[in-house]
Amino acid sequence: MKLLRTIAVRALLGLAVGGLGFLLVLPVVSLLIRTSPGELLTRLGRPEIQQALLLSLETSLLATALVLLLGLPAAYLMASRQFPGKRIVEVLFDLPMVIPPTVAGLILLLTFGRAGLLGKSLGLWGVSLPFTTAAVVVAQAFMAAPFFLGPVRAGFTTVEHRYREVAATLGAGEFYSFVRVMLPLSLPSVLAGTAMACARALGEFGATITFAGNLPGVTQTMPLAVYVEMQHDLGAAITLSVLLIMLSFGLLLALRYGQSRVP
Amino acid sequence: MKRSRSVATLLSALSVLGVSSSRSAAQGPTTLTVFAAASLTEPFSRLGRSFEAAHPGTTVRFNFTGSQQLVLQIQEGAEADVFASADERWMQTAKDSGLVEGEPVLFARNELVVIVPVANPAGIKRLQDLSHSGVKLVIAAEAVPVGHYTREMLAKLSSQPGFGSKYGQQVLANVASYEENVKGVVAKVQLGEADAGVVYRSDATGSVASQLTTLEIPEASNVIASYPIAVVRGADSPELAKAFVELVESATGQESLKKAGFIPVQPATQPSQ
Amino acid sequence: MLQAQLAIRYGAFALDLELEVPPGETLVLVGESGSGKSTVLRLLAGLTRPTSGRIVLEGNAWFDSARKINLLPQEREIGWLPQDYALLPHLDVFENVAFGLRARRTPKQEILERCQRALEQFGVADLAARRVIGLSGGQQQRVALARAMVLKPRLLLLDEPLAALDVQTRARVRGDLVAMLASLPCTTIFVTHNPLEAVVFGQRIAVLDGGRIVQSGTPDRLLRQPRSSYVAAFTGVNLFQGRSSMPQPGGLSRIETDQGPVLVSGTEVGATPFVAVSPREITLYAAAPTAGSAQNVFRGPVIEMVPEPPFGERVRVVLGTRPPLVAEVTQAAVDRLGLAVGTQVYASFKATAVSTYS
Repeated sequence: MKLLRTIAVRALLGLAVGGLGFLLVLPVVSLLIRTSPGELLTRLGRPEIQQALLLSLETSLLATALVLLLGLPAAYLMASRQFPGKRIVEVLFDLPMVIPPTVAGLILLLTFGRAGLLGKSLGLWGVSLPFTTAAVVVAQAFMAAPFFLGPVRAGFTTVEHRYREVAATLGAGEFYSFVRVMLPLSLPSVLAGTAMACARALGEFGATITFAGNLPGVTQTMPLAVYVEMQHDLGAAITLSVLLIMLSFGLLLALRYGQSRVP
Repeated sequence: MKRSRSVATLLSALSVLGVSSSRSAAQGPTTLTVFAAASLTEPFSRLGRSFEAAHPGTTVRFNFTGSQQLVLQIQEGAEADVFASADERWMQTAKDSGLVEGEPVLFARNELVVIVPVANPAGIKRLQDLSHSGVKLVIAAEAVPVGHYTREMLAKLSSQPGFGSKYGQQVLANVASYEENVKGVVAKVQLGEADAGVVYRSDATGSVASQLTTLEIPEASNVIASYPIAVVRGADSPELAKAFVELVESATGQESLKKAGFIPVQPATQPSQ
Repeated sequence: MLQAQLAIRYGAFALDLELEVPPGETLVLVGESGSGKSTVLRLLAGLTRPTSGRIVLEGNAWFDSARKINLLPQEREIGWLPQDYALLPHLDVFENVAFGLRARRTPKQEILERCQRALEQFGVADLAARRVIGLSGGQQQRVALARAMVLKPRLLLLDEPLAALDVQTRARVRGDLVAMLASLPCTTIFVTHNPLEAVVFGQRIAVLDGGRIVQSGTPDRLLRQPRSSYVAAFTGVNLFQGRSSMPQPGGLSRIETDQGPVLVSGTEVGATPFVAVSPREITLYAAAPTAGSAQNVFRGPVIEMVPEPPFGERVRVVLGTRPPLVAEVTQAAVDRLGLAVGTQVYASFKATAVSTYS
């Protein structure tokens, strides 16, 4: 009886792992076998593909930098302060992760669009976001932010109070303490958050196409280019997809490596 | 006792998977799937309801998006019974790929118009204004029928007196975004994000009309879009599919299309080869 | 001079006390866990905010609820040693010691000199490049002290510094720590739950119970005249609260305590005095002693016998007499009397051996 149970459990586990592997790995494999390295290299020479690649790299790096700049203090405040309505703020910051990207794009339009809440004031300053590369960065940052805030906030809360307290008694101001104690002690979480945000920004599609539009060289990032190319040049779409997968894979691999090196 | 209960649960869970995969082998209500160009959204939705009333037990399901996408989806195996395209180019592609049953039938025509938001932020009064620098124009991508027609129309205008040969180029330089279907263009203009867009006349009618202002394109330079419809090969319900096509061609269907801003054709007209 | 009036409440806990420590002296706060002693340190450090009160060190107000003054910890010149020393784990020993100086943007050369001196002063110069993890408890304590003292604080706060050490290390480190603290010029507040440590480290002791100071004074005073059963338990003295007194012939007084009557010498004993008897003043007899009139004799069973460290030559005998008494006798006496748990004995002490005070 016990033996039967063990076998059944093992079989179910194997089925589950196999099923998951099937679901996750097979699509990537099927993508890779549709093209050869030679084809990839030739297509890489095409200007549309290079345009999309460069634009994607540029915008996702800028978006990640924006998320870091705004997200570090935000995560710190949420980890160290109590204030009324904190729970609601936390949920709001997590929202882009759960709403459909096109909905997010619509929200961005209604806020930053010409007739939008903030858009009107921005317009007075001569700033108009939709259809610009800046809009792509904003859309990517918006969608990627929760992927940064989650791990980093958790990382900050696990840095024990006593270290921050001792630092204060030694004369460290809050900023000094943040840079010299908090950050070093939560580095793995910050690295993880940054990599996740970058990967999400790279893959961003729905909010981008709705808010920023679709114009080669300006707003047509790799995911958008895949969508467009798919309709008349499947080969180009496949090339771009492979590139995207390679970039994301490389990013996550670098993250794992970086995390194992941090003491 | 406990063990047999969990086994029973497991078995019933597995059987659900088996049952749902064969749901398309109809039992009870029949579903008719119609793939139609985005511009046909309003008239076809209405016709769909009439069809359901006339054929009790049938549900009509629509997929409205750019014709280029519809063909791609059918090519990759999507289940469709009827395909209605906004141009003959994509219907031809479908035909060449062996995706249609019988001969496609022309059922409607359409014309292009230029739309601007009611507030008209860029102050566009005449077609020539579209070439002024700084205008934010949104049109459909080349692969989308209306996008292709737009370029044709601009080329035609460029050879007209009062426009200049550079007109088409200048206008295209003002494009801020290439949308993947005509409704995307409408949305951007409606929201006030774009200064102007080029769509079908039918798209400027109905509920959105109050938020848009239409600029006419002279007939000599306008492009007439031809809409063919066909039954998809391998359709689940070919008779129902044929019945739907007939409804579209009938007086009721043509009336519906006319109300929506399309140019009706006489019933039983063959498409030009 | 440190002057502090502190009051705070959170939940069911309320703390309300006053402290005064002359410059350079060490005050020991003793109490059970939950008495509020660690809270007092946190309030003085600025890590927790009092509900009301004042903290003034050498004329500088660090906290004043009336004048709305509240300096942050980094603005107070304190040295803070929490129970587990909290050495920063991502820095080596030298960088830990240098942390405060770097935070104040001290010039590099000065940092090198001062840290070097501090490391030497506390005997950890050879550990300078070591990572903090892997240091023994005693070593960590010295590094933590060096780190705090290199900043020349005006107030040093130590939260149970020996508690984190194992029993064997504790005794050794205690001696070193006494010497180190004696050489430091700053005012020190030392928190412990161990009465022996209190006596060894403090020039003044304040006993905390339930957020209040129940008694404060020199170690000597506390030992001789405990004013609460809590302190008496610390010092191992038999303490009773007198309810009423009546003069007796022979220059004696009879004091009724809630545990029974006690004969004491002297007639001016006041209305409700404390009555204290040292365990060593109690003699045990197998049979009723021929009592002089100036003697207290009680009869009761032996409840417990505890050999006194370090060698067990002396034994504390807990008696179930009325009033209950703890006597300290030699092992030889125990053997001679054949004492065992449950044995009925007579306990006797002279009226003159009793101290009474208000």
